Amino acid sequence: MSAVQEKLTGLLVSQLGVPAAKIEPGITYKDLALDSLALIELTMLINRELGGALDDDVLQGETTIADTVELIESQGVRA
Amino acid sequence: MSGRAAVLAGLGGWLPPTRITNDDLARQLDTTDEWITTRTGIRQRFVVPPGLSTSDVAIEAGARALASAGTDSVGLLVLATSTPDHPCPATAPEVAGRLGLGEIPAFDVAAVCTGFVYALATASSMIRAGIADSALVIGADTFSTILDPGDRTTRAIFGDGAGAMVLRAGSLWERGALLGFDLASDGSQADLITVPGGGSEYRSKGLAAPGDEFFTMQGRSVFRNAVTRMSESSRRLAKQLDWPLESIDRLVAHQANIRILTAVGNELGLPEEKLVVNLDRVGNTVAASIPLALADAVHTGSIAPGHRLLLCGFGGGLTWGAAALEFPEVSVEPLPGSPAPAESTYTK
Repeated sequence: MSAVQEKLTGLLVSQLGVPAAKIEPGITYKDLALDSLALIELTMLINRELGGALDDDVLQGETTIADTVELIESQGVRA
Repeated sequence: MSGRAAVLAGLGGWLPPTRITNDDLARQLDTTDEWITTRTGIRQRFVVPPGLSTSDVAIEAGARALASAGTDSVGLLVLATSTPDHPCPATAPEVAGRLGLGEIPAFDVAAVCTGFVYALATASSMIRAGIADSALVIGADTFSTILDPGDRTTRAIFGDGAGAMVLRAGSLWERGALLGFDLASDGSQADLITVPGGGSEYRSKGLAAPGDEFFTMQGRSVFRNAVTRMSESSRRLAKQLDWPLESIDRLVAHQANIRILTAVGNELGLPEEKLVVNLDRVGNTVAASIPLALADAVHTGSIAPGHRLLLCGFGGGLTWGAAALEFPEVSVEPLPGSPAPAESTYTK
């Protein structure tokens, strides 16, 4: 697991109450039952805690954990 | 700078009699109590019955604030609202007249959910400048009159109501003095929170589409802006006053959504018990939200004399801002139409 994925997992578990066991690369936010406001909360957390610069509408229900890690890493963040 | 200041002397609020629970909404719209509660923290809201409008709720709150201050006269009335009775004239002169306040200066301030902070800053400045010796500041809105009846999101969030403060001239060094303000706006994001139609632009350009008369809001961007702007503004004002954030006893933030309040608390490092919350029982009451939350917290004893308070708001415009004071001895009547504060899920 990359450092970014590890930190993302940490944010989902500690800040948004997602059960750690459910988090895997291919799962979508919809499957994790995160609604649109939870996704903006996550966007803000990623930008603040990991130094990302994600726009408000990047994370959607169909976005997976792997997609998110790729997006964050494509911005040069290595956590 | 002289030590003259505006000092809080009275506080009151009013909610209209028609209570709408989440289950009531679920009977009319595709929604459920659980959907609304988990997304917003709101369990019920109050709306005006047919025939009542913003001036009516403003007068009820204003009269209670005057009674709380033990006075029947003030030298100025500032009404924060974005649902005035008419596009023209302002609603404040009518409110002043019907309250029997005489021929005092009276005008509206429109800054949507930040309206009360803006109105408070305006009245406080006029008192400090010597233009008035006392003021009635009212935040009143009846958003139920501008919501799309078929929109499950906005109808779940917004409620009607009014809250008011009486200010008197005093000294910066006495308890209750308004100690400072932080105000800001960003017009480049005006379209995030808007009623598109009904104004001069639409009439002049001949624009009109069905539904333009209704309030709209872009949830995600509003959420992010609300959290960052209220946090920024609170932090700036605390710094200006040399108040360490941990010295703030209560944050009375605009009651928009429980998740916004929690996120602002996290940003500022304030524990949950320092966040004043009454939106579970009243919803988002726009310009009335801050004084209503304050009145509720004083009534329940969550806010006590000597507490350091930061009031902060965020709303359409975009606008945002904060105000600071140490809470004085002020008595507040329980809010009519509302159940006992002890029943609140979030009352601390």
